[in-house]
Amino acid sequence: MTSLPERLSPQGQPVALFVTCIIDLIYPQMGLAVVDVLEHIGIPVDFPQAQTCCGQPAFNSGYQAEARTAARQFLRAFDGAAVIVCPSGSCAAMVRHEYPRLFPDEPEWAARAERAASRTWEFSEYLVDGLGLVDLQLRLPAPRTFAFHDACHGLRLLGLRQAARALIAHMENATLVEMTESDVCCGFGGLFSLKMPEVSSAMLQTKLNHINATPAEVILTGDASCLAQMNGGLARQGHPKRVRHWVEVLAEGLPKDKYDGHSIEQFHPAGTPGYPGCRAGGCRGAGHAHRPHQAPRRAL
Amino acid sequence: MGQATRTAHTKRLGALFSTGQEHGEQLRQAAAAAKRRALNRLPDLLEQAEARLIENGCQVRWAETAAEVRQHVLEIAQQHSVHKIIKSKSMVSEEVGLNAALEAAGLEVIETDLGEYILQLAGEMPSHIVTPVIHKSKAAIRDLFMAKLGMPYTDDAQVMTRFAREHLRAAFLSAEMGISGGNFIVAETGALALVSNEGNARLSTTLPPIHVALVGIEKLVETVEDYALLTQILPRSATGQAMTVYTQLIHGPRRPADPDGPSHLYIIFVDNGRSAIYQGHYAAALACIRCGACMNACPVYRVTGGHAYGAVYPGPIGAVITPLLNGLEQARPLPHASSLCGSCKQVCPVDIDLPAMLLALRHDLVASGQRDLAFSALIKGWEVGGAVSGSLGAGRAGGAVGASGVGQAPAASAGQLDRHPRFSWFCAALLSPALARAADSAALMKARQAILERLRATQRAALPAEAPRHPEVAPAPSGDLVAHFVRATQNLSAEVTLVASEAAALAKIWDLLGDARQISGWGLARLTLKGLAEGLAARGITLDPGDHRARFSLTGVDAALAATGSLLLTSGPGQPRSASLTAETHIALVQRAQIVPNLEAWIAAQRATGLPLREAANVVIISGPSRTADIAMELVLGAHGPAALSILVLP
Repeated sequence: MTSLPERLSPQGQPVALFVTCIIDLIYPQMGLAVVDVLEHIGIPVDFPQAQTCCGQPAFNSGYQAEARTAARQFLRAFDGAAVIVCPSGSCAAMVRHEYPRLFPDEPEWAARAERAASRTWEFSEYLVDGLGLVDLQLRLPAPRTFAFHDACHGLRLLGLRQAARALIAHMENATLVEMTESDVCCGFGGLFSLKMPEVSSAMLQTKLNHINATPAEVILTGDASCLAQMNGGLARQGHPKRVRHWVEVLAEGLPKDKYDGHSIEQFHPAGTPGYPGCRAGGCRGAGHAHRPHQAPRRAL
Repeated sequence: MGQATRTAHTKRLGALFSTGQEHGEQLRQAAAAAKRRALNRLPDLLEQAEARLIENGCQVRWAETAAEVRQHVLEIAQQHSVHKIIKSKSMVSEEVGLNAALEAAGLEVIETDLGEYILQLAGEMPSHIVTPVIHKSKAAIRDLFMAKLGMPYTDDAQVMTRFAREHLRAAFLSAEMGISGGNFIVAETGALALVSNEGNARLSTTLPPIHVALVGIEKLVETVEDYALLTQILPRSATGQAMTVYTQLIHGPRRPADPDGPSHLYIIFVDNGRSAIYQGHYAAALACIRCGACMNACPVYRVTGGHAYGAVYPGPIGAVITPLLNGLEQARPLPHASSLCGSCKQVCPVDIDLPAMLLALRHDLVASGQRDLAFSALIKGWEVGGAVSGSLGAGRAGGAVGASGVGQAPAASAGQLDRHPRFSWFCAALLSPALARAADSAALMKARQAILERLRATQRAALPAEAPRHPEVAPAPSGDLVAHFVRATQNLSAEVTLVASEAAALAKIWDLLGDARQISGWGLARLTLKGLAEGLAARGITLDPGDHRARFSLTGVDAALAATGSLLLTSGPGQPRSASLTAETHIALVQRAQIVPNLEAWIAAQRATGLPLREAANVVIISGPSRTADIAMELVLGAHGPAALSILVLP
């Protein structure tokens, strides 16, 4: 189920990766995993260097003018992209739902926003609904049990639920179970967690209790921000379990030669000075090989 | 608290989607369309409803402000020399601070919804619009009853409920005025529609000689078909019931030949900020039917409870309408009291886009200069550093700049929801000298014109109201109607007996009555069971339709609804309203031919014959014995109405 009635098929088109700021800043291995999976299925990927945050934090706080500034930058950066894929339901929903309504008095920008909205896909939706793929011929090195947390915006604004589950379920060695209240908010809500930290923490606690109770070893989700909220809580309370982006698990099932050798230079050409995301992952600086499966040391 | 809302949420999903996801979604869209269609024609419908209500014998008053509502009620009370008032649950009365005003004028006011009664004893505000006392434990209520009412120690919710019932019954019988809210007004027939489970709404609108109903102007629906849809959607969405125990349509005060019912019925159309909402782009919020589903689904509400919102209407719908009713600056934290997870929109039975409205309110806050300084600095740093410079590399610098402001933000705004002074705006509105000063009567006469003019001045686009024909809420059963009726009735904790002969029916009645010698009920002429009058006389049993203290009552029905196991009774000569209400056990005689598939079928038959239902001052649909779950969510039968319902299906 997609929210727009008519969408151009993305088949046979190259894609532009909208990586989102939180993945770029904190979890670059998730962006790398998207590229690995795309290359595995033979899709050419472009990474527009001029992309920034989509503007959702400002928009959701009521700062529309500031959100428009960010949106214009996004639209310039992705101008001409045939297909835009994004490993976040929330950021994809911002482009799909809010961009077209953001420029009521600027028809030219509104038209560009419409164009971008109609070409933007959350990554699981792109693979399953757009390309019709569910079995990517992937194999995990050892059996693992997973449960999903349905991130709110992907679930309710884009109707995402089954696509990522189907992709994981088709992996060899992967077992899926359902977690209690998998569709209830983790309490992050963007700047909500800063505005009302006590309420946010109480909501998180309920989620952590469910994570603790599920037999799954790893919780999967499709939004890095929710993941940061939950992993922050799990780490602070000394829970051994962690939440991961499902695309990382997909990438771990790739044939060894396909996923282990990517370097950061694909995204930041040689000469780009130090990359904080890599530092967060324990890297030493530019020009090294980045290992996508390294867990981030620090949550938000 | 969290568990209670979760239970309600699960039950609701089961009820609204009991016949499949697709049917449930159709019901939502049909209900949304019905409410939006009414809103699109609101000023015309108000005039139509007023005319019909007056034809039905009601007196209609209009109030622009909370102060005007209070003044209307005080005037009516004075005019009829009222001293004691009983109230059934009304959110509008909370909204306008009615109780405090009435008490200040020396009137005794008693809340009769069990939950509201508990709150009145405790001096607290409701925390949920459907289950107002959801925040209180059973032990806390027990201690309260012991301290305030002298109840002996008990741990049994049933004993506590029965104790309150006895206490309140005396008040019902002695009060001169009953005040209710209104769930719907049916414009085409001039009907006031109420739903309740305990029976207190029926007692409040039946026993006292004066009935005053406070109804928001957004409560109108166009047709009886829309009403039939919405009055079934509401309980499904609120508590997971197919029908509330009592679903009432009131067409005016008692008719001259009626044995009971109030002799005066006043309807007060309440604006109090609604026409201003109607004019703006939040008009769709007026479609709300106050089911509370958004609260039960909201993860914020689940952890904070209703009081944290500091307003009469809590939860997601409260976070939207409180700033609209009271002014944004009075309720600044509320639009931010949401993670925008979207659960509220997903469950809303009339499809109100609450997250979009919360977002729009946040935009309004910023646009009106209501900026949080630390927050503004954070966003500005983010914008300058990240978005404008146009690269993720530079965006990180902005992130860092912004991050230095993050430390400020929680200190400035953390926990505002929790710390929001409870009742602050509410008390301010109540005590403000400008509002407390009673408007003069001439001003009250102008309210009608002012409200209608404001509603008509709006230029907003019509709300989208396209929907296919109403789906049946409870689909007509296939196969044997009688068998289905029996099953549905048993599910409601009623006792039902299929009797093979009239003699068997009589034997069952004697068995039920035991040694009772005084019963109430319909007049003997209205009870078509051969040998009944003779049998009663032979046993020395007197049937007095006006006896409110009898333990047993015996009535017929006008129809029975197979899909929901409901009985439909109208008031009229020989058919007092209280006959199905005041006794401990209600015995109802149903002819097989009276069983129709569902409410929609009964309404269709009414439509085909020119809506004769209007001729009855009171139509009540009864689904099982009276019930409450106000004390710790424990189900107790016999809250205010009969604890037992025994149905005899005659050959």
